[in-house]
Amino acid sequence: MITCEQFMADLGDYMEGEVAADVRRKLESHLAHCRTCKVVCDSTEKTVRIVTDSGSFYLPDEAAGPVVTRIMERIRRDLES
Amino acid sequence: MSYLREAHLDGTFAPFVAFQTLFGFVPNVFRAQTLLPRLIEAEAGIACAVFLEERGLSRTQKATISLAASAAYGNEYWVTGYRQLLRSVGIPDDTLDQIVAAFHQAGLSTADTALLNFTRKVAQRGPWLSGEDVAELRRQRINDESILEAVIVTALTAFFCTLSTGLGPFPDFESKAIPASGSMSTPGVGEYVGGTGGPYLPTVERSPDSFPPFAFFLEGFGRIPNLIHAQTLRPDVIEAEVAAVRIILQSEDILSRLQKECIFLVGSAVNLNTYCVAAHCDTLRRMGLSAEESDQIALDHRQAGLSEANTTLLDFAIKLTARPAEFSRDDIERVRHHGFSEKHILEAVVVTAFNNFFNTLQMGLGTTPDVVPRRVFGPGDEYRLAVTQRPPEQAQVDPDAGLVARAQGGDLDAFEELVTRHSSRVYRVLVGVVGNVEEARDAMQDTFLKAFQHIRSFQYRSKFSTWLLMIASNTGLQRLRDRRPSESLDDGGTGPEEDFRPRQVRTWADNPEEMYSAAERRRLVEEGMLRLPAKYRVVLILRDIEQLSTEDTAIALGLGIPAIKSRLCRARLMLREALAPHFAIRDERIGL
Repeated sequence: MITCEQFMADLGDYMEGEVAADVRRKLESHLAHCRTCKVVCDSTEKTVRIVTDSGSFYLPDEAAGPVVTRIMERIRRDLES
Repeated sequence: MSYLREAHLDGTFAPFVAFQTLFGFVPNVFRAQTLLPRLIEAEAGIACAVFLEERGLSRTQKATISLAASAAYGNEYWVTGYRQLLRSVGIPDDTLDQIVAAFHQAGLSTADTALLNFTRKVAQRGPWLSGEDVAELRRQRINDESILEAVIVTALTAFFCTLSTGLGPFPDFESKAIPASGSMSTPGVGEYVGGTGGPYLPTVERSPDSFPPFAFFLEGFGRIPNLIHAQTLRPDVIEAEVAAVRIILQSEDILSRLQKECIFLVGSAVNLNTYCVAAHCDTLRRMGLSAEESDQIALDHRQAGLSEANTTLLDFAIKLTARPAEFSRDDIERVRHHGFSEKHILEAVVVTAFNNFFNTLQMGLGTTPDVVPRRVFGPGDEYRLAVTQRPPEQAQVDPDAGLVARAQGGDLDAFEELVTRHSSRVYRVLVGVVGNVEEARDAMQDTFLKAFQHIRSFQYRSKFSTWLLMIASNTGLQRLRDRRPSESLDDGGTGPEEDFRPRQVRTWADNPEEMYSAAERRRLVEEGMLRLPAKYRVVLILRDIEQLSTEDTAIALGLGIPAIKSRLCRARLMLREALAPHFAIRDERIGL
């Protein structure tokens, strides 16, 4: 049986599917018994999903367009001078 | 907890009631499909027809076959599930261990041992199965109906094992490793039969006028497939299969029928199933593809001129079919990255699993092809298909290479196109490092000017986009240092990642996304992320928003892979703490 600390140490690799089969079994056996780690693991996966689908810090085209124009103007000006 | 999002369906959902009756619990692999409840209905329909009726084999015999077949497929999830089922009807643990590890020594009757031997050959070496294997069962006084049931149960196990591999459900019970002898040893092969040495079982004449499934196949496929004829001893199972074909194959609202037929085709090819390849080539011909086109898809879909997205979808189906032990969440992410939604991916898994059902069924029944096959798949193809259809992960071509070459030659239009293409991700990396949206916009110009100055020194050692993000992160870091000279991305900061203790331990809602609008979720995520230390925020942005690989993230930030991994996990946990008050179920009482 592993402790919550050991579980947390392997959580990252577990979520990425990068643990060996025997480690995975130990972690899942811990999850089956430990409510706290199960909640943390479940809500962390949901966090990733929410972050990935959130479109956060997306630069809309109407904001990107003028930036691109400004950059290209600057480059052309530098080349001419 | 599975690879895909789940929706909430309560215990009164009819298929869940059916699985509760069959297994004594509702396996999580079915909960993992709640985004498309109709798929669960199709699966429950076949499972009920196969398991509930006790005509030839008893339910315990069927569960024993499923346990042995799950072990043969190396599928821990279902070995655990069927062990639980058999334990609940009083089979001792020792016997169950023996069935998984070495069923010959499990103290079963000679007939039951022969059945498991047959099952294992159907599961592992279907194309080598012959009339002699069926004759051996008859010598043990196993009747035809029981033999048919054994084949169908094995096929259903193949179906369910593929589902669990593809969906990654949370284990229902604590699982036990399958000993090597259970999954690895391969039955003696003997002569190659190609799965078409039968039909091994007698059929019952039925008329399309009085048996609707026959009418269905005549109308939809122009013939009644031999594979369906071969199951007429169990017309109720045929009816359930037809219902599943309608639900899984003929619905077109998510994946198109053409995409599904192609999944069937490539899956059948890697399973060396000559009968099914011929059948699906014929269907594709009816849908307008030439024989050469479908041959090409079967033999090497990567050379078939398909779109990149469809090629990736078929790569996915092939890996799930042929290399389940290597299948992981990464494979899900790869198709997601090509624009497939959760529902698309769910359907792709179920269609792949359904193909394995029919392939296994066909091998076990040995039906002869309905149409003359253009190619007979043999052992030589096993190696060839496995090699040619392995995605060329090493040979990734940089999609920017052409533009970069032109820009290196002084073509400003090409450079402008590169700026347009990458402005958004450069901006996000800058937000990640400087933690301020106005300053990030400002720093974009510096980044691209530096990229332009140095583009001739870019030597394709990494992807252009990775190189550009490296410049962006350095530019952002320079700005941070101008503000706070001690700032860096590689300091120890708040100590070893492992020390982090989660504080919010209330359960989250099943579908937290549904609690807020998209705009509100974005605001919560952005606010939470802006409060994280830069070294965590930037990793989270590159990995979970930009979806860069760990390796590319490491290159872009000039850090090692272990640092990226531990920071990513820590960053996710920290953001989880920030989001928890908004997404946790509010009135739950904690019982620690």
